[in-house]
Amino acid sequence: MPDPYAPAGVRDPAASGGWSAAAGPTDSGKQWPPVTGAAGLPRRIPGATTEWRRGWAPDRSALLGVAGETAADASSADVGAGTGVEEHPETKPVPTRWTAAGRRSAPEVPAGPAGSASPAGAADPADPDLRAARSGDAGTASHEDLNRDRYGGRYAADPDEGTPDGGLPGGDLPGGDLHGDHPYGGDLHEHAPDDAAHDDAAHDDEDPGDPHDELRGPAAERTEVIWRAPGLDAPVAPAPLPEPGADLLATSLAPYTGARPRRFAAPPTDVPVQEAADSDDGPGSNRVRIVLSERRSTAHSSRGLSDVQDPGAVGTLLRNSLVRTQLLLALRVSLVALFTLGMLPVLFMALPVLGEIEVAGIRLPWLLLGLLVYPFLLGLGWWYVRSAESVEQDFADDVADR
Amino acid sequence: MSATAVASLVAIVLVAVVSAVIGSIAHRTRLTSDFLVASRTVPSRLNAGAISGEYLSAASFLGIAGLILVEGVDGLWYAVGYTAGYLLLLLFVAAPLRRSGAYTVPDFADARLASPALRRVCAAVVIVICWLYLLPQLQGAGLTLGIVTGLPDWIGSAGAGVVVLATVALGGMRSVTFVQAFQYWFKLTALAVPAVIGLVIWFGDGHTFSRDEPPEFREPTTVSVTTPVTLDVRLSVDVTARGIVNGVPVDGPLRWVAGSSHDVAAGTELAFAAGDPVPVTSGAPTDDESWLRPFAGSGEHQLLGTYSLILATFLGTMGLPHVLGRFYTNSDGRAARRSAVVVLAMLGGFYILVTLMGVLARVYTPQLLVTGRSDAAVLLLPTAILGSGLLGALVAGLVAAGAWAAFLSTASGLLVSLASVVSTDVLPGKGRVTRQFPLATVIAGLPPTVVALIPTGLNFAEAVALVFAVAASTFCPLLVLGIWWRGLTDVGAIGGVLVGGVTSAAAVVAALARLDTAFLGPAAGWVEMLLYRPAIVSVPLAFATMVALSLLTRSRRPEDAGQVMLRLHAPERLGLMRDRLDDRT
Repeated sequence: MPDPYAPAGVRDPAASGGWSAAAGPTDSGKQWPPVTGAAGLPRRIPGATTEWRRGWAPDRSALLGVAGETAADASSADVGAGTGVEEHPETKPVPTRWTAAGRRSAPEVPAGPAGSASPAGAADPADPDLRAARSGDAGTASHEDLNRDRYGGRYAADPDEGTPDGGLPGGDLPGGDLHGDHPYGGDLHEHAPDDAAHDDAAHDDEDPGDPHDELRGPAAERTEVIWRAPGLDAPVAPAPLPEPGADLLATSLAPYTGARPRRFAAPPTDVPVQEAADSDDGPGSNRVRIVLSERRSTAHSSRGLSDVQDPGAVGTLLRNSLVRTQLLLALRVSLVALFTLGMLPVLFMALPVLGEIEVAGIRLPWLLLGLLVYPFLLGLGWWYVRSAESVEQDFADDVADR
Repeated sequence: MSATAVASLVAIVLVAVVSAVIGSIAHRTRLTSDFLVASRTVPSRLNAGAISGEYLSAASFLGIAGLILVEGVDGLWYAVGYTAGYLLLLLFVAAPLRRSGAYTVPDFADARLASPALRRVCAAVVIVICWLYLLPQLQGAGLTLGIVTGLPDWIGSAGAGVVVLATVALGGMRSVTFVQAFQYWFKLTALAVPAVIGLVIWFGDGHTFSRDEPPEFREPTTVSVTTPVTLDVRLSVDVTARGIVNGVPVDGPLRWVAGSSHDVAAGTELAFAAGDPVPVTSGAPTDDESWLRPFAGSGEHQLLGTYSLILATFLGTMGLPHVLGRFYTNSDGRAARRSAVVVLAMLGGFYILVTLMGVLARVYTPQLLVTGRSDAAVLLLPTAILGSGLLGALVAGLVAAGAWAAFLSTASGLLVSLASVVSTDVLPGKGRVTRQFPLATVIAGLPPTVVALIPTGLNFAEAVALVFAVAASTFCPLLVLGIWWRGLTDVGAIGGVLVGGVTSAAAVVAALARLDTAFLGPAAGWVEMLLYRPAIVSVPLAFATMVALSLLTRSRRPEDAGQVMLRLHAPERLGLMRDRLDDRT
């Protein structure tokens, strides 16, 4: 029988449907630290009033700052002339603080100069990410959208809960040391060389038709590290789907309308109905979906989810990389704790003089074991939770974007 | 009956009644999941309070302060270990375990490895751990009542047993959540008040520990020895004894010269004058200066013993069924992690107070060094500091009630875990947990209540550390390997749990029965160390067995291991989490 108190993730999808199911008990708002996107403030929809062309490039003035302003002006004028792009002040891409090394890009992918890559891009199989990023289809913008929702939205929308996050600008998640080695992307690139072909296919179609390649060159160099196209981190061709490349092509050719893909309305798990969601809003339609808050616990399916659940090599690889990352993180934190505390008995035994040192009127062993050890452990725990959650978010992004 | 006794009794009864009232008004429990896991809707901050309230037992409230009083800085390792164990639980177990959707440890094992045999083994281990853990709790209740009222200990033990049985059988876990969150804050208050008062008075005293002398009796003191002890005398002391000392019946004044040691039989009364140096039970540091330093006791293999204790407490927390059961009541894996961090803060605050109480006890209740019943330190401290006037009586009542809150919360948590396992895995007729839960509670709770009436001479913190060793040798490898290693097989898991459980539990039972005194000769020191601190052998043994057997039976790896692992580690956003309770109905 359906349990009315059943928690998130176990609801009967037929009975509850996407949106109502989202209001699960996890939305109690009493959790610490702040839950993702809990406040019901409407979010800005990037591109809501803008006609985006498929080769949309981010606002470079936001990215490059003052120094890049002239280049940005030139490019936006140029781009605008071609496509009628008009950056609404409300919908400017959020400037991010991610490093040029590329939080999202795999470490082994050479961040080569985009200018050189662009004309020869189609013939350069080693560098699918770069081109995928620059191709900038609907997925690109939706990913940016997602990021803003998660980071910007979260921090901005929870002023009262913001203690751990408060001082940090949106988009720059603390604990960033973990982001440097984004593991899933890295692994995937290593193990799925064949998918470069799909990307190539997409690009062969696009690149010749793009007259602004030269101008977009410098921007692309930045873009690549900030936005991610579906092709970027999804080079693994999922076995159950016949033609992922065709999918990609279809969506990337459709002009981006600013409509948010219905990521959360799809029935949960197992049923990969992903691309249909996009066409629901209809390419070219001017409808705008207003999303009041990000629903965390709603099961939404995507090709990525079925990838992850795939019993074959792809799924195994994905799963293992998640488990390995989390395990390494847990081991790292526990080793810090074990080494620091485990050292103390030996030190006390080997150097009895340590027992006679007084700090602030308290003997050192008492100070360490009676007082300082607790903030130390608490700090480790806090650090771990932050890091583990960001690892999970990366993984979920990865799956959602596939 | 003195004012202290009256105040304490009233406070104890109040705590019991308030606990019962909060429990009964909080929620009417109807569904199976209400009983077992509070419908998984407990907010994480409330849940953190409940986890802390449940975790901080008699061992923490009374035992650790007593150990600090006797052993000094070495006793701090218990508090550090109990807290650090929580960190490791957070790191390796918290979120994946919650995401497993299981509601007891055997159920987790079943979900991961789909082996009925393993499930039965785990159920047995849960029962062993809970029973061993319940003993010091119920005995602590008896000790508390005995100290404040002079009644025999067994009355308090039996009373605590009945109260806990009734609360759990009628309310289930949901009500217990509110009760335990309340009890955490109550325990904290009960320690903070005397600790702050004591600290102020102590600073006014100008007392220092940096002196090469034993502690002194502050007033004429008569000590009743209830368990046989050997006393080391650091400075010569005149004592008036009545009873049996060194095997000889004595009734009159004795002179114990410096450096001698004396066996005192149970039932002996020793009277000291004010200002006399305090003889201490053998093995403990005799003077204040050495008490301040690490490894000052005279026991053998102290370093190894400390590491074994560290291993047991660090790894044991994640294997305690009642702590794990608490985690199932979080709404999801994220909430589980976050409440674990709050718990770390709550535990730290509590243990700092406990440490303070232990230090104060060294100054104000040194007579406990003679009896060896150091558990009583926290209970006696208020009247020792404030005198037996009204204020002293009130504070003593508060502390006694706090101690009872500690037993009640931990015991009811243990009993819920026990009853969950008994009702789902032991009793026949699955799927009717609601009706069976009260019955299961009584069946599971009676044996330890009866056994608790027999006294053991172990400090509560030591007894609990032994249980931690069992947990660290059984469920810790099972959970850690089950969560992080795809290669675990049912054969490996059963083998590891059995090997670790048998070695550690045998050591615990031997230690509780004081078998180590039967060993003599050169190996006696090793035997004693290993019986009281078995983790350093049993934990690596359990891990090694589990890994080796799993590698040997590689073909038995469950085919869905990858899917289960994904469910354990995938973030909630992906919606992969399922609830095993729902699968059942």
